[in-house]
Amino acid sequence: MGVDPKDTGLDEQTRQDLEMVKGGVILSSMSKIVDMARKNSLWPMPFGLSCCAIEMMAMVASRYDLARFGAEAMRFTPRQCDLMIVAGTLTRKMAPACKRIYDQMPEPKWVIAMGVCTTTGGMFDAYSVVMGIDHIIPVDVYVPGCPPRPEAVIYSVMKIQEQVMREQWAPLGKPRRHGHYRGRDPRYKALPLLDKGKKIATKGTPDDSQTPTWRKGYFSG
Amino acid sequence: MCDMGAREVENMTDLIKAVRSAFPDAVQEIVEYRGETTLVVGPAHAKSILRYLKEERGFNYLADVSSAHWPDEGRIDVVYLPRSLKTAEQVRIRVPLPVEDPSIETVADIWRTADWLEREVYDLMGVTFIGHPDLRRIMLPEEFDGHPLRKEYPMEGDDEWRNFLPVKDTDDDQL
Repeated sequence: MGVDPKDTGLDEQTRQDLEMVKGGVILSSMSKIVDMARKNSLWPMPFGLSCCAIEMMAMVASRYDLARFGAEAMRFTPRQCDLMIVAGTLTRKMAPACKRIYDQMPEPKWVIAMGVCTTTGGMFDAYSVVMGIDHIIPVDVYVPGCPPRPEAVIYSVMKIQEQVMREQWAPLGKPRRHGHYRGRDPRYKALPLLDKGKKIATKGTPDDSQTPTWRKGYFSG
Repeated sequence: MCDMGAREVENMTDLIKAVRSAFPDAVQEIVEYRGETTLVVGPAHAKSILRYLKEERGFNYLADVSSAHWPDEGRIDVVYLPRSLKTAEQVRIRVPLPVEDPSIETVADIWRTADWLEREVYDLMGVTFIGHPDLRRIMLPEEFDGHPLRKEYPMEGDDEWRNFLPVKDTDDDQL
């Protein structure tokens, strides 16, 4: 049963547009086109710090094949990348390098925190480990797991793609919505400073008056 | 060592008796837990007991030197794990030290391997080993301030970055 094209209820302009689509032309807003182009050609910067990096490699390799999402071109210089995948335990010694590499990536840029160590410090409640990279750089997507499976990281890349589609590119570029940046926790300000260069106090329990309330009970438990 | 056969139990009882008779009133306490024997020994007798174990009892291998900080008790335990490769015997020697001055004689001249093991304990816990041939930090950098496995070492707060480079915004010429 054929439908008369004149009876579709569309106005003349829309019918002309539809004719153009049939001829291989798509009409859309410029920002949507740019966002789509960006979304399907993410260039990840692998920042592999420990065992998570192995799963990241598996994700790129043939079995899981990140190329299906247009993000297979891993570049080892930040200047060619727009997606930083931080995979593994970030130690305090590595933290300045992580921050610098993030700063060296051109805008727009996104960050995936892969694995629990990267997200929160994970099992390392230690003097040498940063308790989550969002103390250092803003994070767009967190991936839980120790390490996360490649599918989980691919899902996080798809979440980044969704976010890219929400960017609403504009020619003169309004500032983009940044990821979650925790910075320094103000709760921790109260801890008394030890004198640099002085030998660390060797008495058993620290002076109770100097112990901030949130740390009380730490030594008795 | 969880399932100790009769022969091992006999050996261990024999060992404790021998240590007791060779060093009367040196052993403060004997802890038996899941077939593992721990002798708590005062710091004055520790080295002579360890030398006795090596030379008379065939404990020819020092598996580890470890340590633990007990801030409430105000002490630091140094723990030696000598092992006999012939009889597969193992005994744990725990030496409590006062936290104000944790120092003990080195055993690096008895087992050469104690050299690096004691450097590790010195590095992370700040125990001084008297007579050690080369008592330097082994893992952390020379300029590191403090001993991070002490309970009073700051892990959180403003001071958590005290031994590390601060994270700053990158300068424009490095972008």
